[in-house]
Order: sequence, then C-alpha cells, then structure tokens
Amino acid sequence: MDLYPKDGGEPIRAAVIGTCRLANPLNKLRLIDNAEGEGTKVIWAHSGFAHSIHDAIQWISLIKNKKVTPNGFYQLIFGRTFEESKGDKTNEIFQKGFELLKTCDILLLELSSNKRVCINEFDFNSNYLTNNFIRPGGLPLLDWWSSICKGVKYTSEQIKETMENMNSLELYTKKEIKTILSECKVTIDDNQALIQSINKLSLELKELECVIIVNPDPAYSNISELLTEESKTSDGFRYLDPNTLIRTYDLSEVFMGKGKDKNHYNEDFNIKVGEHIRDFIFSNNRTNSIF
Amino acid sequence: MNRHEIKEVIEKSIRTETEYEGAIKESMAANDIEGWDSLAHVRIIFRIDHHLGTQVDLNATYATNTITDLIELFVNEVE
Repeated sequence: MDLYPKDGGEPIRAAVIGTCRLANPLNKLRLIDNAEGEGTKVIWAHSGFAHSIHDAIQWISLIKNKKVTPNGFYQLIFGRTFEESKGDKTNEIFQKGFELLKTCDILLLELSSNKRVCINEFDFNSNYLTNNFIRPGGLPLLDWWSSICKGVKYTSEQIKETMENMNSLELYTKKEIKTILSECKVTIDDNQALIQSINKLSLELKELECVIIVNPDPAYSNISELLTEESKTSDGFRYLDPNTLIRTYDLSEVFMGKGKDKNHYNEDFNIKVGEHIRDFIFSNNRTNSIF
Repeated sequence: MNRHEIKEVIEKSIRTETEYEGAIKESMAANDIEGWDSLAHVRIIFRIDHHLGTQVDLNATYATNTITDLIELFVNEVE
C-alpha cells in the first residue's frame, strides 16, 4: 500500500499485516484528496487477517514461498477455501506479493493477540478455525476445542470418538481432521517470547522499518505498556497506541454497538484512525502511547 | 424457553468454558469473570447456541457489555 503525506509529497510504501482495525482506516484514506489526488493506494492484497506476531511471521514465510499451505488448511489460514483462493495459482500470487514486498519502506503491523493457535509449523487464525471448522462440526468439536484451550490434549480414543460423532465437514479429508484434532495447540506468549518474535520478524525484514500498532481494547493494555517501553529503549520498532486518539472521544463515537464492540471501529471513525496512523508514520516520533 | 431458562443455559455455558466457580450476577461483564478471554467468549457463545438451537451472529455478541445484555440477545434469538 502506498501512503501519501497529508500535505503532498513522496509516498511511503507499507507492507500491512493486521485486521480490519488497520485495513478499514487505511482504506478510508483513499477518499482524501491531496496533492497526489489520493491518500492511499492498494497495490497488492490477499484475503486473511492476522492477530498474533506468529500469524505475521507466517504471512512473510508464505509470501516468500517458504511454506506451502495444504489445501485443507486454506480456510483456516486465509478464510477462504482452496478453490475460492485460486489455490492452484498461489505460487504466482505470492511471487508477485514478494516482488512488491521488496519495494516497501515500512512494515505496518497490528498485534491484537498474544495467543497462538498452531498445528506443527502452521498458525491458524482462531476466528477462521472456530467459524469454519469447530462451529459446523457441532458439539463434539466444541468439546475438543474447549479441552485444547485449557491445555489438555485428547487421547487417540477420544479423537476417534470425536470423529465418529462430529458433523460431516466436506471441505476436510479425514486425515486433515485427524491431524488437526491430534496436533492443534493453543499457547500464550509471555513478554519475552513476544519481543523475541518481533525481533525475529524484524530480522526477516531487516530492510524495512517496523511500525507496530495494537488492539485498542483495554484487555491489551499490558501488551501496549510492554511495547511502549520496548520501543523507547530499543531501535527495533516504532510503536503507536491507538488509545492516544481514542481517549479524546466518547466511546460511542469510536466503536460499533454504541461503543461496546471494542473490536470494530464505527464506520465514520475509521477515517480518523487512518489519519492518526498516517500522521504517526510520517512523523519522526518513535513512540506515541498513553503509557 | 423463558428468560430464566435461557439465563441458566448462559450461566452453565460460562462456567463450563471458564471454570469460574464464583457468583455470577447479571450486572457482571466478561472482565469480571476469570477465564473469560477472547477464545473463551467464542466457545461460550457456541455452547449457548448448541443448547438453545440458535446460531447467533458473533459480531452481535461483541456489542454486549453485561450478562444481562447477553441474556436479552439470546431471548430475542429464541423468539
């Protein structure tokens, strides 16, 4: 994505990884007129959003074609099936993404979870896993997922029983279902692990300046505080806390559901967040946080 | 199914997914109940759905603050 400065001038090219809390505000900037005639320009995009630092690292591996996604995992990583994603053209699609990645100036990264949902070397998007696998699979899969989230793996006998009693899922082979049920795990990054993973990503993309933003929900304030301190004391990344903008507004103006839904900005508020992100990127500030 | 029965299903689902053993009041929010994080939230909603035979829009549940809000959401769904 090319981001243009408020008063015209040379754009910054950003590789953007995150959720709708990043994509929607930046997309709204397209409606702004400036000297270049536009606020942002999307030059490449792929379906699927990222919550955790591990999701982000995986995206870079996928774009670099270092990982090949099994057909049955497409919906759990990209939110779309192999067919919907034109999976047979994945290599070409990601090759184009990789060529453009090499022309980027910054990596703009949103972190909205310190939880990791993975199976062997693949990280699953928890929303996609629950909506596309667990919910249609019925109660047996929900019971399995509850157990996994509580850190208790199923025995072979329990897996066999679950597969016999769950609803049929046509998009997955029996082998894929068995692999997911037996190998999937949920872990939570502590502060040290999170910073190590950020450093790993920075090394992977050492030619790009890393700018991190977090979920504004107060539930993530610990992560925000950690990133604030880390960005002040190391030169690994810059950090923007969206609460620096949000705290000046009534929550009912900021979030959907009359301010209750902290996961989604109000349609009209997206543009304000987009401008806030853009202004930070074009500033010389390393950190802008309420902490 | 009346409001009281729906409330019981919701409380039971919260306890199953969070293993929370304290008192649950209608005025409480997710933050008041230990173990009710983002992953548990989805599991709670799916479990309620299973017991009530509903299929609520998850986004609608993110706009609920308290357990009262959640009860009202499912009362409307059941109706």
